[in-house]
Amino acid sequence: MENMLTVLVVDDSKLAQLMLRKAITSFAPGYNIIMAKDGEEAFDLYQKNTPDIAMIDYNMPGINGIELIQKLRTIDKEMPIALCTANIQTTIQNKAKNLNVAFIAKPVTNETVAQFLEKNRKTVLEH
Amino acid sequence: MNELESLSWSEDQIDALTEIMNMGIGVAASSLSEMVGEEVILNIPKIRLVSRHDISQELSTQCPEGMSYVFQDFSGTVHGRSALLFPIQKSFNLVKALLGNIEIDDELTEMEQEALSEVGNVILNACIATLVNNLALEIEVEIPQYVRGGAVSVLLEGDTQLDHSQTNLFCAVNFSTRESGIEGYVMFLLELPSVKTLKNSLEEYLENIMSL
Repeated sequence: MENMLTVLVVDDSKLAQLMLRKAITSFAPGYNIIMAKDGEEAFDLYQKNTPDIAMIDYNMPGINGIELIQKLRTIDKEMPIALCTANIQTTIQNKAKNLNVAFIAKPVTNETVAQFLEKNRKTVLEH
Repeated sequence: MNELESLSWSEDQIDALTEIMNMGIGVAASSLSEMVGEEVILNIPKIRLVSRHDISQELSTQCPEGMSYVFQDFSGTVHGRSALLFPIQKSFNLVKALLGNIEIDDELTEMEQEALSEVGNVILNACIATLVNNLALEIEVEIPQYVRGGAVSVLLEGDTQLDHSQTNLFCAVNFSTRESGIEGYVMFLLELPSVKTLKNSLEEYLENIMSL
């Protein structure tokens, strides 16, 4: 069952996508990872794949990460989401908190990603 | 085609440099946000190849009333100039946000110039440190200098031996705040020989990441 989890990664940077992919795979090699480069593509992928977990950048072309999360929250209030960004301003962190979203500062590490996935894996599997 | 691809930069290298600059400016924005007490809105870094002369022309068009700026030169593995630029009126807004709602004459006092220099120091060093730490560069940073003048002088001040028609790697991010009306740019310029060194460092950086 654990191997069936799908993680949606949203980042306009291929480097950031790669680093997240490596961190997720290091935590759980069997997870299905789907990548989007912006909010629009992410929303389409969400509707087609219904991922279990999402990890979303803040500063992207088009809508930003918080705006994407607000959009996703209108149809999915429960999905564990992490905002992964180098923009570590308190106001951004507070916005994430208000949307019930974890905050991961870039550059992401295997440890920070593993902590987030570990914390939310059980919640996802119980649903 | 991105201009950097004409220097045999790969898409991945351009992407990696953009992301590293993004990380640096993110840390810098956090510091600035604490100083001015509100959110700093950031754009995505734009990286391109352009001559100093052309950048100066662009800035002159965007800010015909001139700019105030803080610049810091750096040298070592790579050589270049970092600068924090504000249209004159917007720099007054920053000083007001930093020092309280004071009256500002047309000329900034020494104290106000000190405040801008310190902001420049914090912001530019955050960006340079991110670049240095990620790419294992060795860089010495000079002390920040405050200058008020036209855009052309931004890029040539104190550096007259350089050929301003020479192509540079130019990275710029613009930022703003909603309430206090602060608006400015963080800018990095690298001379062409340094661009090659930077490319090699990015190549190693990406190889390391791939091999993890």
